[in-house]
Amino acid sequence: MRSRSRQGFTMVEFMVTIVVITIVTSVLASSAFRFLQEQRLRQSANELVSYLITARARALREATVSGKACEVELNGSTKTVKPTTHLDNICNVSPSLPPLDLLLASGGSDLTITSSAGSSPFLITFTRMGTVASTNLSSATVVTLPRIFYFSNDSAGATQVQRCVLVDLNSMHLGWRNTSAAATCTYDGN
Amino acid sequence: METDASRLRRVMKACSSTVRAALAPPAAQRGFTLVELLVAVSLGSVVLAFLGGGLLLSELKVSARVQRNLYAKDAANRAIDLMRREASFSRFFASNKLVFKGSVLTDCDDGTPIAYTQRNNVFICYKTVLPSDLPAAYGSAYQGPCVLVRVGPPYKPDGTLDLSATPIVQVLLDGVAKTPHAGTLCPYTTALAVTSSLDSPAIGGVLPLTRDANVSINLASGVRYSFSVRAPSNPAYDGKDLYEKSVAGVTLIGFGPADEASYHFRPKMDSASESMPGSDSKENIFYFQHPLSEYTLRETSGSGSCTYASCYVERGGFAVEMTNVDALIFADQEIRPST
Repeated sequence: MRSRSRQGFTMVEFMVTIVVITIVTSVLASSAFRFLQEQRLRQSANELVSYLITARARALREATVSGKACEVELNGSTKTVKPTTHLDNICNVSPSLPPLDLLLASGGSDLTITSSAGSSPFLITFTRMGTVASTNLSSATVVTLPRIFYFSNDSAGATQVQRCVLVDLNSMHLGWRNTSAAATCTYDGN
Repeated sequence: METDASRLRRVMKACSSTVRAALAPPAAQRGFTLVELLVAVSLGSVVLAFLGGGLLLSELKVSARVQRNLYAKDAANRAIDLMRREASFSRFFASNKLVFKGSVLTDCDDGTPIAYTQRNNVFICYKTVLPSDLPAAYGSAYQGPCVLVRVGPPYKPDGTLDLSATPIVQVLLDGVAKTPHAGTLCPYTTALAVTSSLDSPAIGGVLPLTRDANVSINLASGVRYSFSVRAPSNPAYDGKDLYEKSVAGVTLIGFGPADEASYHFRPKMDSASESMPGSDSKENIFYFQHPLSEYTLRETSGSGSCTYASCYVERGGFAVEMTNVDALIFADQEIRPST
């Protein structure tokens, strides 16, 4: 007579196993998807900060003549940041600062960029001291600091986590907020 | 009586059970069952995942911290540069607004440590505040312990001050030091200090106006930034912030309270010889409208060269005779006569 331990799986055991594996996989896959989505947002925000740092460095280095500055515009609908065409914009002088597609840079498929103030395209002007100017070269509208840009995903099933980029007189900060929980962003500590 | 055959059968039976026992594997050599192996593998992978994940996370945290430190250093350098630039274009520097005449920024009127600088009728002050005192929009962007802010007119894109705009409060630098017992203040000597390098005596506990100051900023990280600044020579002769007062029949134009450490004279240069005695106990500074090359400097009207005790300055038939001359400031340069 054969012992019970050598009988193999019954159909019920097999089905239960399959179901458990399916549940675990789907939970993991959805959280992995959210993780990837959040990482892409973070990546987009990082790309913007690094672009602005480059623009600031250029303003510090090249805007030595009075009246010159480095001005970039962030377009919310094309998700692109690039120098403006203003005559005094040294970032538009050849070789000009190349435009950057924030959506492409993050490898994501959807991205929405909003700002705490103003409407797209958002202008940021760096003076020759490396500070953010109170008005822009191309616009006389007063720039209120700090200025915060929010990066979010808007597709169905997207997370409610947004990335924040705070642009201040002398520094930039990366942070995040959960739109369902908090109105202000939490920024990375030192 | 046992037969031979039955004895043989008994012996053989005994032998065969011994052989069988000897041939069966001992319990210790039976190997793992599949279940044991699976449990071991899954435990091992859980442990490895924890270790590997922890290592990866700590690595990421370290690189993020290094990056933030670099940004912080860069921000500190730019902030100090801006302060130095603003201070060096200023006429005066002081640690308390009481030494200024006229209106000063209201946002700097709250008792926190303050350094003031004054350009032509433009006041700029730097003070240290707690991050919690910043507007709510800043969130947790600045972590303190203290934050260095600048109050003054903002900068236009071309790098010049927007004098038509109202003065605003803007953050310059994060991570400024605070002593543990400082409570709800960011103390003056710890965070931001301005001392005069002319050793002017304090007036009512505050340093007087100075054209020559040492500024130091201590960061919580232990880094200390300091710079010396000297107000440039005769930045604007028109001196809208000067007020006139008469001392012993001489038209004396000075700054600040009467007991200030320096006297500032502006010879009118409208008579053939005007006498302007400086004070023994003050630093006497004389301002002239034109470049040094346009003036003739002598000890007296007849001869000699200009000294501390006596200096005669002439231009186009008009002259002034001065004593106790610490500094002569012309449109293009400043000189200190020998003693």
